[in-house]
Amino acid sequence: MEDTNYRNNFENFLRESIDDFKMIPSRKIWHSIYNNMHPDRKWPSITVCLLILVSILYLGVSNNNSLSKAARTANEQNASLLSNNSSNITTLKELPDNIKKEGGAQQIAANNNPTFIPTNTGSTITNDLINTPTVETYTTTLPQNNLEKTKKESIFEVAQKNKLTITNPSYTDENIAGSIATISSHENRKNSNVIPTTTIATVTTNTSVIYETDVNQLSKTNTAVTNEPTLTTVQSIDDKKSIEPTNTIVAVNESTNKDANKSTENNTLKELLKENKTLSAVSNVENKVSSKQAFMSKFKENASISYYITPSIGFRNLHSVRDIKNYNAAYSSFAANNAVVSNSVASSRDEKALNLEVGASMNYKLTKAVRLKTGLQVNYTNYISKVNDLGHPIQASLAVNNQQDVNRSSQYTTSEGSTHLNRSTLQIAVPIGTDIKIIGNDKFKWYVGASFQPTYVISGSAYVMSIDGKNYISEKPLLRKLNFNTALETYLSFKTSNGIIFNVGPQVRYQLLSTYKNNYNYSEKLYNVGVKIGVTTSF
Amino acid sequence: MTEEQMLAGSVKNNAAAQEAFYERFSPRMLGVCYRFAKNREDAEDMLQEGFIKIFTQLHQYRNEGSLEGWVRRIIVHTCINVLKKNKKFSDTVDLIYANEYYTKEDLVPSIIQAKQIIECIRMLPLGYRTVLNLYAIEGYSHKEIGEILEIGESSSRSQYTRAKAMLEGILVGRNIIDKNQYRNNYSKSLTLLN
Repeated sequence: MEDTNYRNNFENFLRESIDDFKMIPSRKIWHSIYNNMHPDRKWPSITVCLLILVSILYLGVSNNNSLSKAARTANEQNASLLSNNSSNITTLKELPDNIKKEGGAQQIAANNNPTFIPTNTGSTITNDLINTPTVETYTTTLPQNNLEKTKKESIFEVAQKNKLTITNPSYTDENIAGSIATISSHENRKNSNVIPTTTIATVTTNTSVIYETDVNQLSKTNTAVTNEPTLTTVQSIDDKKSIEPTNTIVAVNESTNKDANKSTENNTLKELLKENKTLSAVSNVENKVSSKQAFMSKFKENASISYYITPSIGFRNLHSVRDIKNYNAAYSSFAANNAVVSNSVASSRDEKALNLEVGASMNYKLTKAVRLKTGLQVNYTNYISKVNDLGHPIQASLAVNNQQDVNRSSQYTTSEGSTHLNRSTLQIAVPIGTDIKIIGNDKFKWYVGASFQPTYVISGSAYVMSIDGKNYISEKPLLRKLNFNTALETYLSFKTSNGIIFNVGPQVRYQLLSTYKNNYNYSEKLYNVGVKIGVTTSF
Repeated sequence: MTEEQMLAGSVKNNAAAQEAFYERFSPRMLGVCYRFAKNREDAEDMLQEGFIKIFTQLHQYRNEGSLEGWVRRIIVHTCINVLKKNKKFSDTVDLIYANEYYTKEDLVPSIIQAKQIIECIRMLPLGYRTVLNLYAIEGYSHKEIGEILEIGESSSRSQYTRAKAMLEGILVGRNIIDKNQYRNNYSKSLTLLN
C-alpha cells in the first residue's frame, strides 16, 4: 500500500515539478507557422522587391542615357571637326596665351593645374599636317587637390570650358581616383595647322596595365621629341577602389619646345598612328568601354517604357460551385423580425461601375514585330448590387466547403431595392506579356497584346450570399488575396515628332480565380471591358 | 484579446488571432516537446508541426475540456508521430545497464528545479523516456500508450517500471531527491491523514 502510494507520489512530484516548465521558442518558428498558414501573404514582399528592381533598372538606364547624350554631342562635335578639312585651321597664334607662356613640360608640370590643357577649337586634320607634325609629349603629375577639384567638376564641363573634344563618351568623372595626365602637343610651323586627334590629355585611372602601356608609348614619343620628358606616376587616392579606365580627351596644344621641333620632323603623327603605338593603349581602353556601350545602346534601342491608364466597366460571372439545394431546404434564413426573405439570388440586380487600371511597363523588342513587356499596375475593381436593407439584422447561415456552417448576422436581402452594396477591391499586379505588331509604318502601328497578371488584393469589401441565397453577408475573410488575371488588348500607336508614342485601344481583362476563397459556395469571376490609353517613351 | 476572440479569429485564419494563440501556448508546449525530443531544434520542429495541425484542426474543437488540454494532446501526438518516424519504441534498455548509467552521474547541488528534472528525464533512453512522459506526466494509461506507440500494454508497463527506476537513480544520484527521506516524508503525511 505504501509502495503504491509512493509510486503515485513520485508521479505527482514529477508532474508538479514539470508542469510549469516553459521555454521560449525562437521567432522563426512563428514565421514558419505563419508562412505555412498564409502562403499568399508572401506576395507583397515579392511585389515590393520587383518594384524596387524595376525602379533601379529604370534609374540606371535613365542616368546612362543622360551621359550618353552628352557624349553623343561631344562625338558629333568631334566628327564635325574631322570633316572640316580646309577651314578653321588653328594656328599657333590662335592658341590661348596662357599655354604659350607656360612653355615646356617642366613648367606645365610645375604648374599645379595640368589636368586638361586648353586647346583651340575648330582644329582639323589635313594630310599635310599628318605628314609633318612636330609632336611634343610629356606627362605630368596631377596633384590630389586638382584631382578632387576635377572630380567635382563634370568632365564634360571641363572639356567644354577648355574646348577639348572627348573621343570616348562613356567617361564618368566620379571615377577619377588617381590619374595621370599625358599631355601632347603638336606644332606644324609650315602649315600652321594642328591635329586634333593627337593624344593631348589622357586621363586614366590607377589600372596599372593600361596606365603603363600608355606611359611607355608616350615615353618613347617623348624621347624622340623632347630632351627631358617628365613622366611621373600618380598614386591613386584610393588604391582599393577598382576603377575602370576612363577615356581619352583629345585636344591639341601648342608646342613651345623648339628643340623638340627640330628633332622630330620625321616623327609624324601618321607614323605613330600606323604603328599603333601611343594610341593603341588608348584604343584598348576605348574598346573595353565601347563594348559596354554597345550593349547599353542595343538595350536602349530595343527597350521602351509605357505608362497607361485603363478606365473600364466591370462585370461578374457568378455560379455555384456545388449543389446547394439541400442546404437551401435545411438552412433557410431566420428572420428575427419576421421580415419576408423569400427572394432568390436572381432577384438582386447588379449595376455596372467604373473600374480603373493604372500602371507602367517596360517593353523590350525581341524582333521587329514582337516585344515583351512587364511592369507594375494598380487595379481598382468595383461593381454594385442593388439590395433591400432589412433595417434589423437577421441571422443567416453561410456554408463553406468543409461542411462547417457558420452563422452570421446579415443586414441585407438579395431582393432588388434601394441600397447599394459596393464590392470593390484594390489590387496590385505584375503583368507579364507580349505585344505583336500586326501592321504599321514608322508613325502608325497596330498591335495586339496579351498578358498574364499575378495579382495581390490589398484591400476590398466582400458581400457573400447566405446558403439559401436570400441574404448578403459581409465576410471579408473570404476574400481571396492572391489571384491571377489575363488581359487581351489591341491598340493603335502613333509616334509624334518628338519620339513619344501614344497608344489607344480596347482591352478585356478576365479574372482566372474566384474573388472568394475556395470554401465559399459560389465562384465569382470578374471581367472588365475598357479602353487603354498610354504613352511610350524610349530610353 | 480574450480566449473566445482568439479562438474565433484563429478559426477564421486571422493572423493576429493565431499569433496571440501561439504566444499564449507555445512556451509551455515547447517544454512538452523538449521532454520528448532529442534536442531543442527537434523540439522546435515538433512545436511548429504541432501548431500547424492545431490551426488547421481548430474548428473541430468543441469547447469540451480545457483548450490547453486539447492543444497539449495534439502537441503530444505530434511529438510521438515525429519520434515514430525515426525510432521503434519496442527497444528497451536492460535494467543492469540502467543502474550503471545513473551511478556514473556526478553529484550536483540539491536544487530541485523543473529544468534539472527535465534534463534527467531526457537522459533516459528514448523508449523509456517516451513511456514515462506519457504515463507519469501526460496521464495516459498503459493501454493508450500501447495503442499510441504500437506496443503491447505489458511492454508499456515494464518499460515504465524500468524508466522510473532509472530516473529515480539519476535524481538520487544528483541529489535532487533523497529516496528514503522522500518515502519517510510521504509515510508521515499518510499517517497524519489517517
